[in-house]
Amino acid sequence: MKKSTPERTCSMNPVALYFAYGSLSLKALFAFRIDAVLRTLAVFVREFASVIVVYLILQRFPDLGGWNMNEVLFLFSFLFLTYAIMIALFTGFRDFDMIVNSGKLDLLLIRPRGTMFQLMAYNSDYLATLGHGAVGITLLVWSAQAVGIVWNPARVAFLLLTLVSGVLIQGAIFVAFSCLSLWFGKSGNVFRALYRNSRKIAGYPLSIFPDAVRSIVLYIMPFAFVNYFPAAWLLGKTDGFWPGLPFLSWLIGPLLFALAYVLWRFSLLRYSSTGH
Amino acid sequence: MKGAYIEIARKTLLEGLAFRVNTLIGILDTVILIAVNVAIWKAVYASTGTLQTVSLEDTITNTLFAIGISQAFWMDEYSIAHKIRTGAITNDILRPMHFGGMILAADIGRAGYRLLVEFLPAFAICALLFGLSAPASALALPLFVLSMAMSFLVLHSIGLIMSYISFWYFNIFSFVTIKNAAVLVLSGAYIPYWFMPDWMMAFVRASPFQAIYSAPMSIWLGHVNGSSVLYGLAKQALWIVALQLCAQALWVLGRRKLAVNGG
Repeated sequence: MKKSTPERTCSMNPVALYFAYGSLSLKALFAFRIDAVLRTLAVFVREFASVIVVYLILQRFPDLGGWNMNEVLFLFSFLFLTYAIMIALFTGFRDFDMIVNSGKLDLLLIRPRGTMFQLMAYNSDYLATLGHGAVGITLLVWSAQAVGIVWNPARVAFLLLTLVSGVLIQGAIFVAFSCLSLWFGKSGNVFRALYRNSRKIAGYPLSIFPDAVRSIVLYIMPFAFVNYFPAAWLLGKTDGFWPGLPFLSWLIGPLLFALAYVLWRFSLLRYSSTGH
Repeated sequence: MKGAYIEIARKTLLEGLAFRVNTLIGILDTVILIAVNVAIWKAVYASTGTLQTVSLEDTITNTLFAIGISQAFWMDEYSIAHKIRTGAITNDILRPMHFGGMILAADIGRAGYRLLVEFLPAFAICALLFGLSAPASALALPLFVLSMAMSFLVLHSIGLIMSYISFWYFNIFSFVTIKNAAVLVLSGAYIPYWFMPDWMMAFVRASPFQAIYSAPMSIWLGHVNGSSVLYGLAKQALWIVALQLCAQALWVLGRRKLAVNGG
């Protein structure tokens, strides 16, 4: 591979530039090889722990709001798969507070590329992608087989569209909260608490929760559309919800991301540096 | 001399109070976490609740205490590791105080803040919403508090061992993360010990994990009584001593390894 010089980088098209950034991220991660392997393993163990909790509970009880163990694990798998893809793209927005506080955002603003593009490209937490992705694929393959889902073209297309939309929903959430950081300074704590709780709620069938808890994943952080409604459709359940909701998921992802993008452009206009 | 440690604990406690918004988030976070887990237990009990040996009310009580308090007993391993890595730890070593003692004082201050300001309001809200079982006897209450205090010391000691790993290993993220995952599954907060399968229980009994939330909860719920309460408390105390000895050994060995650039 040719060495990238500044001149070469300037003339690159966005896709080539994205991959140039990506290979640098990978190099940085694997500078300490044993550490990278250990950290991936740790993320895998951490994410798998929540699966073990569900598994052990459903060893003792036959079902959870009408969902058996394999069905709940199927529901779970969407969360891991979408997160794995999303974090590879939006790591820069996850660490946005730090980027603003260190003044690094100012650096990105004066470069001749889009700020959102640079934030998406310059750093990717591929270790998280590997850890979450491994859990997600294991769960999806295993549970889909156990519940006996027949994968015809329509279902595969449904799954792929759902994953794309799920990535966009979570990406939109990350971007929107980065905008809040621009407006109100550090807001990472609010974001992390809400995000963690929403993900936790989304691991279980929505129908078991009281309205107050449901509204968190329906209206504040719409995780229900990332996994619950699509998984329920694939399993042939409605749990008493409107049957059109699984298909609404595809609209919600692109729509939310478009809104988040508009908010992002608007917020950047108002940005004045942290004063370094 | 004792005053200095108390002052560290007091300062850490007040530090928490400085950020009002964080306090509010902390309360809300705990309430949501408990509400979610209570909903899960209610849903599974709805399927075969009457067949279970432990009532839904007791399981909810476990959720309220163990999950609520686990939010408060969160150790800060990374800041010590950071000090070791950057060499800032030399400032602490120069002080005429015991390093482990300073960390304990800071951990007590932080846990105290979280218990009083975040856990108690969240617990009150959840108790009103979901109800809870009364302590098994009048004596069970003080013994429960004592046992919970020892749970804190067990977690503190494990945290100390994790921090000291950074004398040898640059990045302790993997160690701390795997430890936290083990605590999540085995400590009795998310899966109460009465729902653990036998093979898992056999392991937990022989490990410090039982000394975390299972020990105090079994006292509150009256699952142990008479001399077995004392046996449980003694076992917790033994684990604290064993873990502290381990931490102390790592500290002595680690200090020899400590190399600071640019002296």
